[in-house]
Amino acid sequence: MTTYHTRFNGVRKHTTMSEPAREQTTVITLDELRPRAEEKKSFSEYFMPPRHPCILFDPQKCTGCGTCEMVCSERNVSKIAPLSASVKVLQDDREGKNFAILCQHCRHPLCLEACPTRAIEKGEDGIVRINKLFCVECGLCTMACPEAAPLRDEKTGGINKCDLCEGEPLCVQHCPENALTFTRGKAFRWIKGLRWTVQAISFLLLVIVFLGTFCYFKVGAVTLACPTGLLQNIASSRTIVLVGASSALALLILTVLAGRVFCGWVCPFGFILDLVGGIIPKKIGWPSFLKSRMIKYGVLAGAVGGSAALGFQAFCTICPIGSLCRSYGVQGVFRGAELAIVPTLASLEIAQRRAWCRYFCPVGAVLGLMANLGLIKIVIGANRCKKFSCQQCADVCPVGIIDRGLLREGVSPKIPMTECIMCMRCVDRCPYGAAKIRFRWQKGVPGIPGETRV
Amino acid sequence: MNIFEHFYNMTIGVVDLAESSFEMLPLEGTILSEKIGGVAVTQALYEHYRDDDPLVLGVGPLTGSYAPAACLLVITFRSPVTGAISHVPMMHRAGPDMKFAGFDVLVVKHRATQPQFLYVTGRTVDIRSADDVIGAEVPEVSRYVRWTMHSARSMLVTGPAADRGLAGAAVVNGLWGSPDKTGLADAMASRNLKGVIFKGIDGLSFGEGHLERSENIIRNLGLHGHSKTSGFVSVLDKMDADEAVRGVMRNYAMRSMACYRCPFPCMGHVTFSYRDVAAGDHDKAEMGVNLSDHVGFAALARRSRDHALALSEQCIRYGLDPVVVAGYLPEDGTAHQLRQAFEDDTFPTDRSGLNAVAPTEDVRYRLGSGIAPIVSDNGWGMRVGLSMILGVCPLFLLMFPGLSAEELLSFISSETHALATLKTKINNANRALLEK
Repeated sequence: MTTYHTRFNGVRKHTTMSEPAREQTTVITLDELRPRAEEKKSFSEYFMPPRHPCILFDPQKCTGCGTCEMVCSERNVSKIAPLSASVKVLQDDREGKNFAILCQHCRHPLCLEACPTRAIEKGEDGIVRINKLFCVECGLCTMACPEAAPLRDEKTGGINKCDLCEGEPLCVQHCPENALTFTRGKAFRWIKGLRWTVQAISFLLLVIVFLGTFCYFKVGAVTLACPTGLLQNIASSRTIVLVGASSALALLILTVLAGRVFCGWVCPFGFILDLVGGIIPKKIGWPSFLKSRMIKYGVLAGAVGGSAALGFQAFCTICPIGSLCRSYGVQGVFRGAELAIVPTLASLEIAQRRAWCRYFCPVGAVLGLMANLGLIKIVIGANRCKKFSCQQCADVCPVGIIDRGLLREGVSPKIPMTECIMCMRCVDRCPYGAAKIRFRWQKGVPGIPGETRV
Repeated sequence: MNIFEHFYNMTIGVVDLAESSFEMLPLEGTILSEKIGGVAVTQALYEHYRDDDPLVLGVGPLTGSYAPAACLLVITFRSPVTGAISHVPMMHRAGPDMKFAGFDVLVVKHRATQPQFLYVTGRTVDIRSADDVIGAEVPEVSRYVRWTMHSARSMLVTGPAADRGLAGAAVVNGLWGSPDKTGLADAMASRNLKGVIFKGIDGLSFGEGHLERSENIIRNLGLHGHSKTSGFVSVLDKMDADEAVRGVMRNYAMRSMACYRCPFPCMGHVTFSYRDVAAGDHDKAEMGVNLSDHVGFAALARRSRDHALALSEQCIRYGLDPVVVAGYLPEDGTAHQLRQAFEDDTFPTDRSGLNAVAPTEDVRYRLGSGIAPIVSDNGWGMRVGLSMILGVCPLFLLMFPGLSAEELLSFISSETHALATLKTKINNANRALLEK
């Protein structure tokens, strides 16, 4: 007898077997048998991410008739056996609500990570499947999935998981109430495309065409000015120039009407941060003592106070937006140390997306105060979405203001408009249509008003 | 060849409560070829076990299949209220779950010494103690069942009203009430049977092409793809409920619910604000109620319009028949009055003297007790009988008279000769049921 070592998913396993058996056995590692999928995201995937097919469930339409379970089980086990289906309709008799447990074919499936035999794979088409050849029915996937979507068949003990019927889900086809909708995912997100275009054009205009000054420029009769610069100007000169004030008002009025769209769509430094943040991986964490979003109001107060004390616009000399406009345009003046400001602050992206905007930007602070008085708001109707497993809105939010904890509890998180940069990534990404732009006075969130009235 | 072999498990479970024993017997093909199924079979088996005064639970051939509204479970027993053999239809998911648990008929004999639950799953019947929940309100019983009988799918339980032997005790199906108006809850309580719980973990193949056939029928009835907004109220309308009854629902949002494979959601969940001034409530409380008993709701609404929803909620909570409650309460009676009567033990134990529609020998109470009187008496009986033999919801058949017996029988056989034979047998069985 010989002690024999095999490697199982990186763990050494000791077995004892007889000599003849040892001679016939070859050691195959799991990595050789089921190599892990490449996780690197290509440059093209960043702009055109792979489709994300899934079935959307509308609890307002579902009556709980169970037809989805019937057709699904018939496909799985060739008979009507609702508990052998890959979809499950749960009924909450107390609340009078139905809830479908359905695989969401997550972008980063936890079931796939949990499977010790790598029987779960995500195909090129975005569908997450269980390869029955490798499945040992351990059930770890059922525990790992936040949606509890891999379902154990109590009759056979096997695991059933939705494979979207290879692109033509029967449950969707046969739902009598049209409560289920199949989406292959968006190949192109128009809001994303539009935002990048606007950001690029704004960058070109502010940095290159208009001779490098966002802070104050004049085109014909139109003058526009940075509101933070104006505050510093007032503080340092102790005079109010009416033209300057009215020029700054334009941006403030825009913010009242449409939120911080400047930050999400126009700001040239924000454009640089989005580019850098999309490319460089996040390797380090953000220090906790810098996690207060109030810091930016301190920076604003410091900028105004410093300007008053020093007699010139103190913050403007180190403002990344101003430096970018002044120093990097083709006709701009390259000025020594100012060149370093943009790359230095952009490098914060290695710790957190839009870290400058979240914690330090005094321009964002002024606009945030105005946005708080604004006419619109972003709402997320947790009643409508698959908040347990999806959370794509929280994934894509560059300023991290969507509370995952509340989503998991099924509560619609309140979006603070002082922080929201109105990039509309959440609206664009949500497959359930649960993230919406609403007027401030509109009550309710998507999913609630859908109840039918008698 | 037995044309029903794909529709049934061909098994009968016989439970002896006195001996806490269970045995499984084959369901003979001969009884099926003669009686088809459902209420005709449960009636025949009741006769067979008559000396044991059983409760017989049975399903029809279409129960659990793709046929529209194939959700029915029939319970046949001797009504302690009328003294006659009574057949109570149970909808929601109980029928399919019993079938998928491996039983076509379940015969429950004798009386248990202690309160018991029957947990029916995986071709076995587990007899479990119900001592812990005697006297508990139905939501509490429901919670207990879900906790102790892991992920149970359907439950027929009695409430504290049956435990105390009050008049008008009714079985509650999940938290949805039931059409039990002939004392099924009393019959269960007298046997110390607290509830029957189902979990169907298996299935049946039924036949090919059923899904397409069913969808054609649903489409022809004009039901496919519509979000039926007011199924519950539609039934009230068909019952010729007066404005007072329909008016109750007008101000509330209703979430429509359907039984197994039913394209017409006739049940609903209503959330409402309620303040019982008589009880000294200062603030309105947010409450929710499941409505599935149209006859019961109409009776409550006629008696006490402003309190009908709260009273409906209490009827489910206590396991009471709303019709009897409507008979007990004075005009504009409140939920507080009912609660007070329940807590003070002043709610009557005898139905006599109650100003209610009392169950009689009327066919409506023998067959399909509590199903809304939507069409004329004779037509009502034939439609309900047909549905209760085939295992389809009687209310669905009453609501959609355009759905013919042939269309339903075509799920069993598409041969003209076999269809004609089936129809004749069903008519005969139906007539026999109505004449008794």
